[in-house]
Amino acid sequence: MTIEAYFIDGQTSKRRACLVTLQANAISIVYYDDSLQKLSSTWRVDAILRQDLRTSSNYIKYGDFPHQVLEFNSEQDLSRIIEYYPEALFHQSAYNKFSTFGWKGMVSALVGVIMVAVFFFFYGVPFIADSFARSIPKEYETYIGNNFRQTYLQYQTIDTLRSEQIQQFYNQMNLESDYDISVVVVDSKIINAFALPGGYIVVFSGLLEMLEEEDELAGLLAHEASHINERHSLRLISKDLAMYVLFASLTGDVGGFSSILIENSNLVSSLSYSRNFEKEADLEGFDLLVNSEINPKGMISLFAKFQSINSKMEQELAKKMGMDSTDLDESSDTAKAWFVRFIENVPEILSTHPIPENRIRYLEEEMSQLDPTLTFRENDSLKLYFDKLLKTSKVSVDSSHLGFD
Amino acid sequence: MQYLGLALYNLLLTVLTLGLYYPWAKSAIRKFLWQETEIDGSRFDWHGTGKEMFRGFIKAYLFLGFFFLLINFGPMFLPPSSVIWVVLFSYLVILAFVPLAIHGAMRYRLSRTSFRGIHFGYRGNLKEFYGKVSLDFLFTILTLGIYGYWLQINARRYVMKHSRFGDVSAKFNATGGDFLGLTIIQGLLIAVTIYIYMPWALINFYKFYIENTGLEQNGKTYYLKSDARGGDFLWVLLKSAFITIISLGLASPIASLWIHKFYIESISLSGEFDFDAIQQTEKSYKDATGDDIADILDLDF
Repeated sequence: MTIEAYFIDGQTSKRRACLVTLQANAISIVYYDDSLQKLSSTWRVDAILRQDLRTSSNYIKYGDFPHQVLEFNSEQDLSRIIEYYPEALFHQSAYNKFSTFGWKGMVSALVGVIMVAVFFFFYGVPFIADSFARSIPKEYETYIGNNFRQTYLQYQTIDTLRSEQIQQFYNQMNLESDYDISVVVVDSKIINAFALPGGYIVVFSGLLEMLEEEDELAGLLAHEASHINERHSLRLISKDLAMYVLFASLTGDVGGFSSILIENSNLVSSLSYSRNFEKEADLEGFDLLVNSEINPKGMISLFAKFQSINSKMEQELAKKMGMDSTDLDESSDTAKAWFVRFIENVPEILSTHPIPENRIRYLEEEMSQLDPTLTFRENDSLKLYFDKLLKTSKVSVDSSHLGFD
Repeated sequence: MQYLGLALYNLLLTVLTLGLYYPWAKSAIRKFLWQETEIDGSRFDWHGTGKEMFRGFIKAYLFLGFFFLLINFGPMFLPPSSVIWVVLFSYLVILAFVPLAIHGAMRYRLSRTSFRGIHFGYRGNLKEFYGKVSLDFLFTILTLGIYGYWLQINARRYVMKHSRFGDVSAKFNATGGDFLGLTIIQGLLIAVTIYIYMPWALINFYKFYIENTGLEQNGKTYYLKSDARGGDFLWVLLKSAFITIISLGLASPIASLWIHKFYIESISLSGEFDFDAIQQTEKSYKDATGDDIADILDLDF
């Protein structure tokens, strides 16, 4: 078989028209130089340079540098050569094989990408990150937590007196923990509390104002202590870190828009991750209380409080919008009622915490499963410290942020 | 469509290998683009390999990745008083790497590019380049950034002057003053038209780079030309945004290919330039051996 093509000798860029004849193990090339003298060259098929992406190529190269080149008039002419030497090495590559599957290959690759991505997002990365976070030595965790705490407290007013009192209260509770937990009260109207890695709990005074019984404070602290015991914040950070590394290595390849999509889906998965942690902290906190013979009912009444403040805020907003309180009945599905409910109740899927209704429900279920013969200690000393705390109360409360982390 | 197939194939292997396949993917994409670019009836060739790029990828990730991690996540782990210094230091380290990255990338890219069997090459000297850039950088700080326009253009002039295509050498003709003037005018037009002028401005910058680039053959300089127009560019951008959005990002390789094609197809070179008379000069070229550590910094940060 013969094919018309161009021959380039590797010394200059001059293209010379040539005739290519295909033989069993070699290609023979006949061309003419500038003085129209007939010249020829023979290529051994096994010394043709590899062409990994043959679909977008119309040339092949040969031998050592400087390479000789055969340039064809079309990609089809190159295909004829490849078909003539089906076993030859120069056109064997994984991608060339893949491209022979056409659209079927593309669809399979797409499905594969989606499956692998989903697996990594929901199982692979969280698992690796989790194992990593759990393997960090406790001393280093405490060091990180202390950094966080110092940075955070720089901009806050610490209530030293109440910090001492709440610390005594916590010590009195006698909860099981591998960590030396220290509690700090920050002066703020906001209703919030959170735990930092390595044994630090920060409680906002706004949250203290709405407590009425020592059980509620005990419930709150047990919840935060469970976050610390289970290394929740470190595990969250570690997951974000792992995602960041994964994206950094992938985004060079993925288009700008798709990386935005991926980041947002990461956000949603982070939220559900943190909701699971909150539930875990509720349930483990519950067990911690029971093990220390403290009545866990305070936890439930705490969430009931959030719930009632929530519905109060709903009604206030409804009033501002000129609605009657009856307009907010569950049956009313006017646009305004929907709007008020939406503003005051972030849907659970978009929230970092389970909604209070659910938390009350699963805690009550735990309650009902408790051994009825179980007794709780008379919490005289807890009550003593709690009353002291209440007496030093002074700030008013801003309920626009509600809850604790 | 072929490009989309290649992109999907790359993406699959990249996610399966947790990103380790990325250098091979990048090399394949470059090979595709080079092989699909044709002048005077012949196509370019890219003979870099994924293995070479992988070495650079590992080194760059281990070293620079460490500083990027420090900048992004350092504030969480470091003592608050030292955070600002560590972040500042990290930025300085990354900055100091830019000339090395440009030098390494030029050496690597040009040595792995050929046309009609003739290899490209880069003859710049790293020490000399650092000297020039550092001096310009000092001036840039002293002039509160204004000299940065000269810094950029001088660097480009140096790089172009030392680029070879066989016995053809390249040059870049503009000065920092030209660049500053262009930036002021285009900036004003963008501001006055509330960004509507953006595509036209981008094309004017593109033409500035292309049309000041010349190829010197047998003592004569031939300048590149670009007939790109802002209106056409706007249309390509809209088209690209549209298919990317309706395909939820899956067609983004096609969109980026359209934009690439628009840029490349606008370029032309005077017919007097002789594509048949280029002599092979890069004799010392050895295939597929990364002979310089800097080669491997060929990464888009």
